[in-house]
Amino acid sequence: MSDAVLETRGLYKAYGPRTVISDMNISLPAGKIIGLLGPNGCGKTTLIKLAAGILTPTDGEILVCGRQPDEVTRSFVSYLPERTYLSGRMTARSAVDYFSDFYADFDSSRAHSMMAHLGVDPDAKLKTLSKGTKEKLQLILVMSRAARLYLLDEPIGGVDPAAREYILRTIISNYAENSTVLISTHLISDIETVLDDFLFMRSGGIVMQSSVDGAREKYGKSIDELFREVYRC
Amino acid sequence: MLGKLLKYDMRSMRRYVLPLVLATPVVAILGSLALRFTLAVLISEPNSPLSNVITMTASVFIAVSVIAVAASPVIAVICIMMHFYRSLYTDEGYLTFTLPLKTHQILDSKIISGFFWGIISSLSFLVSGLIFIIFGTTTDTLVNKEIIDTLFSNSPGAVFGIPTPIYGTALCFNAISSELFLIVTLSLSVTIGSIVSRKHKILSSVAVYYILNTVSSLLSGIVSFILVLTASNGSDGATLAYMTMATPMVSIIFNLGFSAAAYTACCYLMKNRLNLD
Repeated sequence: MSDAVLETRGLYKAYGPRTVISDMNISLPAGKIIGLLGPNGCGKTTLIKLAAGILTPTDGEILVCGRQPDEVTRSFVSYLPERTYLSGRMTARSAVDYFSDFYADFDSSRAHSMMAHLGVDPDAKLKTLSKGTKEKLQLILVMSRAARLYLLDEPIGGVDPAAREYILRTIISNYAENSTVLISTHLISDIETVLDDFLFMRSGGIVMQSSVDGAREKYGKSIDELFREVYRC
Repeated sequence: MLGKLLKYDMRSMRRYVLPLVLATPVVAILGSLALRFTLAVLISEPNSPLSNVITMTASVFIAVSVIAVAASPVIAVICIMMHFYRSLYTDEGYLTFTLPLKTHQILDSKIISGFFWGIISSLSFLVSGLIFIIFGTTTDTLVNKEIIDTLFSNSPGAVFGIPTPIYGTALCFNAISSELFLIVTLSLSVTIGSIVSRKHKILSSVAVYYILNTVSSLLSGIVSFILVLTASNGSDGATLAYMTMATPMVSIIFNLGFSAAAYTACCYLMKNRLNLD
């Protein structure tokens, strides 16, 4: 059995006639922060959604710690979508209670501490909060779990640069040694410093997979510069 | 885990359905008071211009209250289904479907809570209807005892000699199984509608429900028809009594059978065909 946290074998996903992921074969090891990078529409979100189990593969398979996404993998996968999935009627406090009820690995005190640091009012209704604050709250909830795999889809896109720095520090400090963090983002220069490995995606496939240090050494460029070169229009 | 999700679903539905359930009998009481008042005015001053104005105004109020009471179970079911749709097939579904729960547990929670609030809203409707009938149709006494006696003595069960408790129990089970069938079929319709259409999910769900409902009505109609044909050899009291009892029993069997099939299909689709946009 493979030691990979996330593995795909001949993964294929199509929406009707449109192919989004095509014959993807990847294997992501444990204990790494991995950047999932690529232009819009290249299949980053689809790959993350497949791993989270909210999309069904058209063909091939996707395995999380050797299992197809199910209720067991959901207990150790912490997923942050690129949209607000909490009900507007909830308060931040009730959202924390909700996560605490369902996830055995959720740390409420850590969540409350992060909320205090990021200035999220625990008693405000979510519908009254700004988009950025809601994104911060969702990230707090997701990072307050001691998961084996974190799937973060555009985690810092909507937050201000100061909060961004805190969030990245939080990601680094919160994930355990045997956990893997898969981050999809366009803000490469912001996250480059925290990444161990990266994947470049194009048209539903992987065009480059490497360690950040290895790529810097090989190409003599930062990942941001390499990205601009690979995806030059 | 199922218990935890059920707790949240019950609470979430309560927010919409409970006010409706409580408001319906209140509207019925106000409507029946207006009905009593109108009857009293018509009896005491049948042709005066003032009584005409009063009865016209009261009639409008009565009509509105009757429509409101009649609409309440429909609105309750719409609220229940909107909760189902919102928590599974909109952005909130990203959270629901990533909870560490088996697919059937998610569905069970939605169906149990929907069924519970559906039954409560049906009871509220029934009580409201009885308020209209018993309190609104008399001016002399508090309750109209005559109409209660008529209801019991003219029920099909009583007419054909079936003991009221037996016939009443059959009707109750029929109503309960119908509610279950409604909730499960609607859940399946919303699931199919959300899977087949990416832009018009609600419209598709309504269309699917219409198709499923037509097919099930057709099938149960055919079986009932066959039953009537086979029983129509005799027209004695025993045959009529048998048919009177057989109708709700056939309905119960169909409701439970269709519910089981719809539940299985819904569970399969949620597990194997889930594609949240």
